[in-house]
Amino acid sequence: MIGADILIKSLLKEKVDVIFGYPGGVTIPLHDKLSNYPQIRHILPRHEQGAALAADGYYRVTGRPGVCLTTSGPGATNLITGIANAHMDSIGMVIITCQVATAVAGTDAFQEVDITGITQPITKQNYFVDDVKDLPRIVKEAFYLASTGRPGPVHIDLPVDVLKAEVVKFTYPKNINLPGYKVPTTAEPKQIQEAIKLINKSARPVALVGHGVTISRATAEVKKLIEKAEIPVITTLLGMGAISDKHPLHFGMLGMHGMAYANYAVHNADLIIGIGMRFDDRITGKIDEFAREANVIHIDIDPAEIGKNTIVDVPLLGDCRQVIAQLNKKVAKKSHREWVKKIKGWHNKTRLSKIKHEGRMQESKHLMTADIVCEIDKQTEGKATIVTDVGQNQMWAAQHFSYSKPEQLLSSGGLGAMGYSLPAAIGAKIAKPKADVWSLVGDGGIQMNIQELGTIMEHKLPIKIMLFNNGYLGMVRQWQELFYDKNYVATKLANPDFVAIAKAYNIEAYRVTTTTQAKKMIRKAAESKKPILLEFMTGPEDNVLPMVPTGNTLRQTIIKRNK
Amino acid sequence: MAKITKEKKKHIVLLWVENKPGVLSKIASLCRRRRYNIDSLTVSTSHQPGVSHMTIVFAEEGIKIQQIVNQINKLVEVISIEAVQPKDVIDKELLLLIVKNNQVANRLLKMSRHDVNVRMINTVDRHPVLEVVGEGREIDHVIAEVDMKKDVVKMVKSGLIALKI
Repeated sequence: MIGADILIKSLLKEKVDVIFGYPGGVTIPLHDKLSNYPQIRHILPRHEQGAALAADGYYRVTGRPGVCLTTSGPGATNLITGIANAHMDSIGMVIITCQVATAVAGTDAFQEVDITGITQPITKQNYFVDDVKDLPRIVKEAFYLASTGRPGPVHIDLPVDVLKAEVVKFTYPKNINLPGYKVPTTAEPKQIQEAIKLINKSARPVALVGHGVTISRATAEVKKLIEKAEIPVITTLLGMGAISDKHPLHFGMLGMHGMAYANYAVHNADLIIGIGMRFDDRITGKIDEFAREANVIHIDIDPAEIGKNTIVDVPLLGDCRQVIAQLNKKVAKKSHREWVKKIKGWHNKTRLSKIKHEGRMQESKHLMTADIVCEIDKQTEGKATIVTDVGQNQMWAAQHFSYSKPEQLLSSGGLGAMGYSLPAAIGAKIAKPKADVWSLVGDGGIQMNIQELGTIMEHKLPIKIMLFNNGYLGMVRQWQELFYDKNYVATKLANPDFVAIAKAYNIEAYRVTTTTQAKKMIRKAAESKKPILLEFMTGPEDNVLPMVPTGNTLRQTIIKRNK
Repeated sequence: MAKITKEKKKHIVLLWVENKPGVLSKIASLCRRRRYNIDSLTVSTSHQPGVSHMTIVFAEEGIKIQQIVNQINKLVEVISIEAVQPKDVIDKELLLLIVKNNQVANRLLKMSRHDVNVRMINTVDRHPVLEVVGEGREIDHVIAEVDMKKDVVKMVKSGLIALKI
């Protein structure tokens, strides 16, 4: 038995069933051994970034750390965007990079790069394995760290001589000894008391639901809280689906491209209960004016998030599910009929169905991405798993689909990494073959990881790829239009024939230019058991609205285009 | 009597950390990327095997020291961390000075008193070498007393070490 066996046996102890991996010089001993362990499925992306983002998709739909594996040097550096993305969005991931032999480490050997130095600021923890004896312990710690507390990516750098080292016996440690690692669970009773006081006396409360609610599986508890005390719920991008859009107290997403009524509600609230979210600049608008009349209760498992961006009156440090359960025991039954009525009034005036066409420059024969998203919602009865890319397509997908389950929307939130959609959709589909996975992607983003069509082809993954082709890097173009006097620098795209590319990968593909055709083809995609790509020719100068320009307050949400 | 310069508020942070490779670099790198300016940082082994003690001084006005503490505490190797007030710690710093001449040396030697110890330890090219040991703020007083251009050839400081009492 050699180090490679030890690694694989350790991964099996952690119930790993899939590795997204790419071989290279120093991984050969490991890939060689992998063939002896058919319990682990090895998926080869066509670029290492695809491996990291697929592992991200795998985590989001299963809640179990995704695993990716690459060679040293360029193989390792190609992972960086995916790792940074996982770090920003609290994604459990274990990254294994193989490394040049310890004997030559530090000599600028072929394909050597100081990858632990590089990943250190974007991982929850990282390891350089000096000795094969430490390997089982390190793997155990890595999975524990990746999946507990605030989840995150953990990186293991494994020199090839350690992989090849002869080992007599495999023993996997039972216990973990990390004296510096604490996982908060319940909040302090005194703080719970303070929070209850604020909730009970509030006349205009709003609960802001973030990714933490999904991660800690706190949906039922949050629902109980908001129903008992009649608290309107607004979600962040990554909180979508944690509370169903159809819930009568759900009032959409807030932020830069959030619903105007959601933004108004937050701006006018007298109490904000932030649950598993981090008051990111994309949702607060001008921070000094954010929820200016509100007390803030912040529930989060990461102490460093509390008080980082906004002043918090009552911090509740702990796991969302357990903390909300604590609150539920004490919170008074209450009605906020007037407040809810007020938000409904804003909703009636500014709801999307009313303002959908406000983002169009002129009468256009082009398709609208928003309409396509609505049609996908309709035809899949809101049950699809939507994997967005980044930019306009992402915001339209967030706005116009009605999400009812946690992690039904997979999106690169904090990092905003273009190229996310295709590989993350692959990870999600591999992890959950029964999920109906739709990749919604722009003409810019698809070209950042278009090589993953090869992975889809190889594994015949029935992913529905909805490509919105507006001939621009749309979101940047929108900013150039609004804030830089339509100086469209470097945003006009010279595009290839996407349908031909898909066909070259043996993927069924169609170009769609009319609404009637769109309905028919979306039906076809919904029923398809094979990979399919639809290229929608959409309005080149359509804008995402509502919008809060950077530095403005949520009250200043724009819902109409200046024509 | 030495003039007491207006003291800047310093934030002293004490850490117990696992003595593992890369810990110092992780802390330094975190402070860099989050733009926390380190005034001094000292680290050494302690009475506990495998555990090192670290004293970090941040000398910025208006920083969110609790945020810094929380961020550093997220590093897995950090066993405990605490921002302390000067009254809660014993602190010491070592200053080594090569001064221009005996006149300067004598002036500084006279500053010795119970909480600051100034000693002549050597001469280099006829320049007196002084060692000053004392509390961080006493060291600052001594430094305030010299004119770096006129009086001093070279100066180095150890950085503060502090022990919570």
